[in-house]
Amino acid sequence: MADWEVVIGLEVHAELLTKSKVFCGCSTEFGAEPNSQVCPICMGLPGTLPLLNKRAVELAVKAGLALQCRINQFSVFARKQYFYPDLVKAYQISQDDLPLCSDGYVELLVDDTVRRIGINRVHLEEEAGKSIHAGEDIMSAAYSLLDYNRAGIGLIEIVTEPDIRSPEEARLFLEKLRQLLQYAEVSDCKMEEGSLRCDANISLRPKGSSAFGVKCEIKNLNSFRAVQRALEFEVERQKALLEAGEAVVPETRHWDEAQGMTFSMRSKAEAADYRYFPDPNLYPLEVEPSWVEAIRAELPELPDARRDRFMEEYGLSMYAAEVLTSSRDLADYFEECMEQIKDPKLVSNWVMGEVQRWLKAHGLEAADSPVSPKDLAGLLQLIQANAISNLVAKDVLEEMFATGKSAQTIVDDKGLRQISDDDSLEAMIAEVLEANPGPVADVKAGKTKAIGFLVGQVMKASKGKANPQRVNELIRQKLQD
Amino acid sequence: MTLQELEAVAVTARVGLTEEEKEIFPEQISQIISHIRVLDGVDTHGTAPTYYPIKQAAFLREDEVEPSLPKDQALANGPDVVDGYFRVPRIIEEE
Amino acid sequence: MQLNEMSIHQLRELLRAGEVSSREILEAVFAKIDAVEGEVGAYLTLCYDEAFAQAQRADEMLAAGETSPLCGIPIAVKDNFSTAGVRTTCASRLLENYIPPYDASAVARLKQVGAVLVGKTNLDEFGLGSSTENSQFHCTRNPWDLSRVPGGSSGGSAAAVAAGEAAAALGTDTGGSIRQPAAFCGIVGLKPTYGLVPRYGVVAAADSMDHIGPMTRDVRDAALVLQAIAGWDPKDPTSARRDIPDYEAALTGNIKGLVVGLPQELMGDALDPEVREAVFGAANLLESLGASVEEISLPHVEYAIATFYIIVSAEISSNLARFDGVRYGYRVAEAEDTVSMFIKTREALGQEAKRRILMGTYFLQAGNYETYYLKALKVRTLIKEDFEKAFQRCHVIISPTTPTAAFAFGHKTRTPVTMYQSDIYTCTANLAGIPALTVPCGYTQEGLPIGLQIMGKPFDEPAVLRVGHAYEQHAGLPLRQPQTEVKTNG
Repeated sequence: MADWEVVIGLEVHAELLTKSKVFCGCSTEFGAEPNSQVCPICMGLPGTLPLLNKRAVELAVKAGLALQCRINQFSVFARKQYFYPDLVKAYQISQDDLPLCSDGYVELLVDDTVRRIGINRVHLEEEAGKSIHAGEDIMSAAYSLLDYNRAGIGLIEIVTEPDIRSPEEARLFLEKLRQLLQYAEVSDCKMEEGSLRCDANISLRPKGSSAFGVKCEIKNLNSFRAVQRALEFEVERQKALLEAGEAVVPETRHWDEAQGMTFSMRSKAEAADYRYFPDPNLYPLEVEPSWVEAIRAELPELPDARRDRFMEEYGLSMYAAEVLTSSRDLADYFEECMEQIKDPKLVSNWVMGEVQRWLKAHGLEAADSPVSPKDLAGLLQLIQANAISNLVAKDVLEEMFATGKSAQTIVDDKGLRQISDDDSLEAMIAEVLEANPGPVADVKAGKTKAIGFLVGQVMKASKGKANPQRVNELIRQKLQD
Repeated sequence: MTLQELEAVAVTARVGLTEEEKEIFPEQISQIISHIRVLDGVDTHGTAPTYYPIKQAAFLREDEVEPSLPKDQALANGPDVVDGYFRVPRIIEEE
Repeated sequence: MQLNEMSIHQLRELLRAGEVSSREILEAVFAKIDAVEGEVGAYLTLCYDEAFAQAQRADEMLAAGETSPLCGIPIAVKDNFSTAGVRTTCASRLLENYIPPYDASAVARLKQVGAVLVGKTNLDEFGLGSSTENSQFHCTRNPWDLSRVPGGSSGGSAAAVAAGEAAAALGTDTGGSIRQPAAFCGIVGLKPTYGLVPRYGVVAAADSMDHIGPMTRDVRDAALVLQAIAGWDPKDPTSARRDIPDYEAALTGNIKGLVVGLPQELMGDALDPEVREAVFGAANLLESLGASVEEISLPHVEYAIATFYIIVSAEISSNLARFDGVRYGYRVAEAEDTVSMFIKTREALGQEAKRRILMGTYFLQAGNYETYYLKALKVRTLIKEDFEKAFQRCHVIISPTTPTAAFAFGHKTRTPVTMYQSDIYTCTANLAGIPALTVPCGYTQEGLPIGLQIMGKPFDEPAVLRVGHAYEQHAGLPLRQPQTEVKTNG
């Protein structure tokens, strides 16, 4: 049996974060009443003409820059023609042979090696409306309902080269792509709201072969997990066919999440021929180099560069730097906190650990955290000043997330301040030593392990407020000198 | 152009043809095509296509939200409107 | 002369002097409509109530000092201009009950200066045709001879102005659809430079060829209407960003020293002898006024029809695809699924529209694109270059507007190819995007009007209008009225 190489290419659509649609002034806000954000232009009423949104162009260029693309000085809008009830003009304004951005790449870290996935193109186009099917799914529905609020929202289509070699790599690519587009504030990339969508082309070929096998296009991939699962299913399905000496049929297949399998979709009435031609209503778009540079200046530091800087500037490990830069929000959170309190180890441990834990528990992004970076710094300063222990600090943070109060207030109100004065500590220690003659004898006999037990008893007696380091020192002084 | 070819194009264009049209169109369209093939004789080597009658920079609009149509107006021309949606019979193919 | 037969500039004087009101003018127009519309059939929709309300408002505006020459003037608009609240059919069953929620920019500009919208005029379905016989509702008859067509596709607009059913009209011109009916009906028609008059709201046939322009009694009126509708529009991405000159000021009557080109290719054998004679007569008159007429050559004009046909059909196939019966317009009563709904709904299109859609679809298909569409776009470049070269020598170019005067009904017995051939004099200006004016330049022995076409450099409407106006002032054409006048009096 031959060893098979998996060849995957992705087509990703991301909705742009513009306020208004790409060719008209209707709002892009999600979740409005059906057909309440439409106008003659995005309804395709006869006589209307497309008015290109400048910001949409800028965001598409920004995406191209984040994906290391060449920005083409001239690009052309073309009509992609097909009939579908959600497509108001029976053509989509898109770009064909002269796209806005070409020839980029994304670098992925897969099993400790850097994999470069080529980006064929990034082009600008418009969304279609949304159809809601009355019934289980599109096939069994008796009728469908059309809402055109989404029609005309600006989209970028990102087409990769067939460089992806495994279903897992496909998922990692998408995660990285989402990270980049979110960093650049091009798209919010919410797969659940449909603002990020992905179709996959997959084929198999014998290892060592340079010719491509017959590919299938997989649709209805509604989550990153679905992308990986569907492709894993498809690898096995195609492998089984090929190994049985059967041919893979070039077709579009539909991923069924519930059944965990892909199935062939009813074929179209005719082969797709989109009859592209340049839209005579839109003159060629010129993006001059000076404009590109102005857009480049808007780009934030991108995740890879930021990760490297975090390692260098803050002495963080690769792992810590990777986690902290996984989203722009989290990285910003970390750096804002660092401005207040210059202890990278302390801050990174807290942000990666407790802060992320509570964010996740509350279902929040770092940017929406009720505990601001400044608030966190306030808490960490109390630790640094030995005013509270780490243990107490964890409880205080939980309280901060729940109430929004500052660390100082919580510590004061609940009397959680750490006990560090020797007089109070010595009184407590004396009581503990008296109550535990056995361990005391052990320590005196040189079994230093028992010190830990005694410190623990003091902590217990103080309800966690004693300064454990000082208690340790004082016990040692008493028993070992 | 044969009737068969013509009918294929008609499906692509989603245009139903009457019996009369099926009768007369193939001949008429063949005539038209043979007439327009005079262009085959024109030397267009090195000639750029003219997509737009005048040369002008692309028009760009600022990203500002403008009022949408009142919902009743948006739906007013719909042949079959239900609960604020346009209704269509079942869709038998995916995009 | 009746009020409904006067030019805009004559009415302007009367209105300014307070001798008549907009209401009185409109009453005269509707009286004429009542008398002749049953025979002429210029309109698809009359806006009686709205028009009188607008006339009342115009009278108030005039009293308040409004100076626009169009204030209070009754104007007809071709039924492919969107009009808020007034159905806009394009003479197609697909849009029989479609009511746009907005006004086309040209209509909005007319309304803003106080013009009065009389009604929506008949056309060939979606502007596809040269006789208005392709209207899916009714035929329009030529007021000069009711057995003949008014031309098309703006046949309703031309007939309305010629018959005194409006003072002026707006038309659209994709390959001659303003100029050919204007010539057939003995009026003035102007197709301006591409991009000068915004297309927003005009139902597109072919975006890169569609033009909007005035259809009027004389050249001065054309200048006045153009002034009101020209200029950059933020709703039309193809509209030209440039300053608009004073067109009426260009009508100096002086054409001394102008070079007028006469292309030999447009004076050939296909031309009716009476038309040729009229055009040569006009050339002589222009020379006598101090212009010099020079024979020129436009070598690629012989390919204009094929080039025009391919590009227009391709764009039409795309633009007419949106009429699918989902959001507006006609939908077939019964359909099992959306594919059959689309096909059966669109079966209601007329034959010419279908032919164009089929051809355009074919031209854009993979494997045909280069042979047809791309090839045509390249030949379009050569035709444009022919004009650019000619305009290095000439200020304007003249030609017949049409090869014959108005023809009789029943063109359907003729083949589409012979129909398309008659566009040769006009469609070149659409391919090149240049301004082209038609003015009456005589009558056939049967008493039918003949048109002279005057073409100019891009955005040089002033030169085109100046030459047209000078010609008109000195042509001394016998003042004749269309036949309907006689009939209704009898």
